[in-house]
Amino acid sequence: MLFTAISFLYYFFPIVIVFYFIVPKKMQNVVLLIASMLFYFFGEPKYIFLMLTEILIVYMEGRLIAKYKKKSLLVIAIFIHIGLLCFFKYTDFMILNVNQLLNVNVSLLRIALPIGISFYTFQILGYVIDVYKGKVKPQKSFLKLATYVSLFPQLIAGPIVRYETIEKELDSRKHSFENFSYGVRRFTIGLAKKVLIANMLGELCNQFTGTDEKSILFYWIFAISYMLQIYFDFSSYSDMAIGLGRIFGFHFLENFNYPYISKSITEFWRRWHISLSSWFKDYVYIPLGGNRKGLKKQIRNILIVWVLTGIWHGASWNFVIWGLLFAIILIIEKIFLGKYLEKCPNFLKRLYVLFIVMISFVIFNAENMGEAWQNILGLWGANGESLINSYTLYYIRSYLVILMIAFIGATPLLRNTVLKLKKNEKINKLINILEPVWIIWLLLVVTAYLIDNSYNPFLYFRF
Amino acid sequence: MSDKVKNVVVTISFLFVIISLLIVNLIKEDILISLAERRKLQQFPKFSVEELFNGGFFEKFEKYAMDQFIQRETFRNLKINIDMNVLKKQDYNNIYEYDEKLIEQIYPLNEKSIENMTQKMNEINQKYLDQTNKVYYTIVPDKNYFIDNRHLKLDYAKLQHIMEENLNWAEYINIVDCLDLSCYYATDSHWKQERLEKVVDRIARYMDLKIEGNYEEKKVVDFKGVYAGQFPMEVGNDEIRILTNEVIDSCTVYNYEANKTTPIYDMAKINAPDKYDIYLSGAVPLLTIENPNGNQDKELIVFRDSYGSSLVPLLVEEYCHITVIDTRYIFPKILGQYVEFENKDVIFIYSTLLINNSVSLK
Repeated sequence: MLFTAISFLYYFFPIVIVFYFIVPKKMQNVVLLIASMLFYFFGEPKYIFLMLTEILIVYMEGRLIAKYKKKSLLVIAIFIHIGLLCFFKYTDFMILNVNQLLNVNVSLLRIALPIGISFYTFQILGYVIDVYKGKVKPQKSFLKLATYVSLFPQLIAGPIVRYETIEKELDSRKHSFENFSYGVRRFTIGLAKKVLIANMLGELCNQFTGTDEKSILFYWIFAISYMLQIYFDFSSYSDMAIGLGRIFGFHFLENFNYPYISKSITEFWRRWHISLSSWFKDYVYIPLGGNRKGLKKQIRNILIVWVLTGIWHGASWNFVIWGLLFAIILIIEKIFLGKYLEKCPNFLKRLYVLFIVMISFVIFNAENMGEAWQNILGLWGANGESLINSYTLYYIRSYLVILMIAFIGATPLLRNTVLKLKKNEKINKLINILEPVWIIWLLLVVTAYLIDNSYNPFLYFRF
Repeated sequence: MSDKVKNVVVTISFLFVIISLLIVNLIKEDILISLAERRKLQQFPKFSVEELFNGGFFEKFEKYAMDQFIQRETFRNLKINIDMNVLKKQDYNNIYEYDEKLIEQIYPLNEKSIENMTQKMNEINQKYLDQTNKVYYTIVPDKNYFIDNRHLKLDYAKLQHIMEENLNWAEYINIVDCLDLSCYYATDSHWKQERLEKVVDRIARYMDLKIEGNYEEKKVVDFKGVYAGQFPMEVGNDEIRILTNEVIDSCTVYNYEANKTTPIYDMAKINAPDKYDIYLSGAVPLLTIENPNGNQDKELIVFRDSYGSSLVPLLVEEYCHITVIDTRYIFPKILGQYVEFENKDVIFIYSTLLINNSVSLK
């Protein structure tokens, strides 16, 4: 089930909220666990047992690791969960490569990827490693651990919530109008970012990929639109997760912080998918030695982390190359470019980041490296297309407003303006009056867009 | 309003919206058909363990939740208004408004479809037609043809070229210059019968027909066409008007599928979802029109799509027997059981809408 499904917004969610707030506090985790299981079951019925099994295993692992403090137990735990992730996510990728390398024809297993497995596997791994290190105590309540792993607000698209972040809130959490209202605002804005901006930019990208009438300008429009789409898509899920979490009293950490205003790629990765990059930093980069064992090992560690980051995003070589691209740029920034960047004017630094990120997402988006290369060459007219054509002009006219909204929304301009205005008491009161109207209006507009997805006219219907 | 009050208002209003809509959606009666979309709406899915575990139940439930949402059309209108007026999108699902008319943007040119169309026509020619037949074809341009280049348009010249190249056994009657945008309904894809005078003259000239006409024009009913439901913005009003004279009034139409005889204008269709069906009863596989005042030596066979429904009544004058065939609904290979082709005039009347999307042709 997705947050953008009508069945979630107007059936599942209100029912869960009502039950959650009418049951005694002790039962609230039970309601959340049942809701999370149903949420997963609605989207992925057959894999509910896989998730439940993993939760049961990690519950026992946590208790055993804490009791015996043996590294071998941790290694076994990591092996089990990484093994399951690899089996479901990378088996066909590996078979394809073996087939190509050895010129054999092993059949693909075509295993469907369990939704959210990449996210909950990393949460599970983080938990067992933290228990082993003594950073957190093992959760004695199976119910609470299961609630943590399966918590529906962040189950399918993150952020990767560390156990330590919500450890105390699993036991006791505060509910207030302030929390609920913040959650509603955050969730609705996330919903609007996804439905009104990301999906529309997706439509524009589809117009590009679906046509033979490409032009150089359309290659650029596509690259920029996709870069904006992926930001709004991904960050909107984090907004919705953080908002939903807050409604139920959980404080998840921020996952995006206006990454497109970064002045270096190093800064970009401190602002983009923060929960993933900090996970790799804490559980891979630092245990490998980080930057403490000389430049050579630091470079090795960066390469390992970024190959893993790439392959985490998907089982395809273009994700590996996408990760490696960032590794190389991060290494170059660390070795010498960083110093020169510092001296550049801000707009040049930002242009540099945006360009690199744009190219990286062209690679990220492509089905294979051939397509990625073609789309990169297209930016420079190397595919022989004209500079502009009527098809491009039509779609620029059709999506200009949404592109402008996306440009502005990707910067903190609007947020800073509102914060500045709110310092004035009178304006703050006015904003407070307008805000509920705005939130409900946004919710209804999003509903209208979601309902319209069912629009499916049949011109030659014979009654 | 203080921050505290605002938090209470946001919380209560959000809860009110989602809970009240849940209740309303639960208690409201489900609707069977969407007239705007001309399709059956999803009903509450039947429960089975198999459907539950293969995800089918939830998939259907989501469709049901969207299809049966309270005030669905109002929400759709809101969406379209924002798309067109706030976000300034150029079309909504390829429909746009131009000069108080709703136009469908047919794009891009589907060469495979045109080739499929000509192949189907060639098959009919090879199987049924010979030197005894005088064969013609004409192409009805869609409304988008008449719009300036701000919108995406088919390469009509190329379409015509492919047709001509593949149909050298039939004479092409070009009617494009006999039409303009005002000849079409504001809310529908079709042309207006009362504006087809020039088209009829052109066809008559090519086919060597004498058509007196002298029609009386009558308004039958107000009309909201197929686009009105899809793009519910206020545009010009439409009316179904018919052209009649003694010849047309004396004709009878036999519908093979329904095994029923009707007049040329089927007034039973006044209450049909698509009132354009008044012309020759709408989408019908096979019809014959008997004209007691026609020349007993002259017979006509028309292969057509829905545009032919309003045009054919104006071509009947000289013919005693007219066969009207829509091969979207009947396999051409069985036509021999019903139709004699020898010594008859034959005309194919197809719109660019069908030519560019001919997958439904049998």
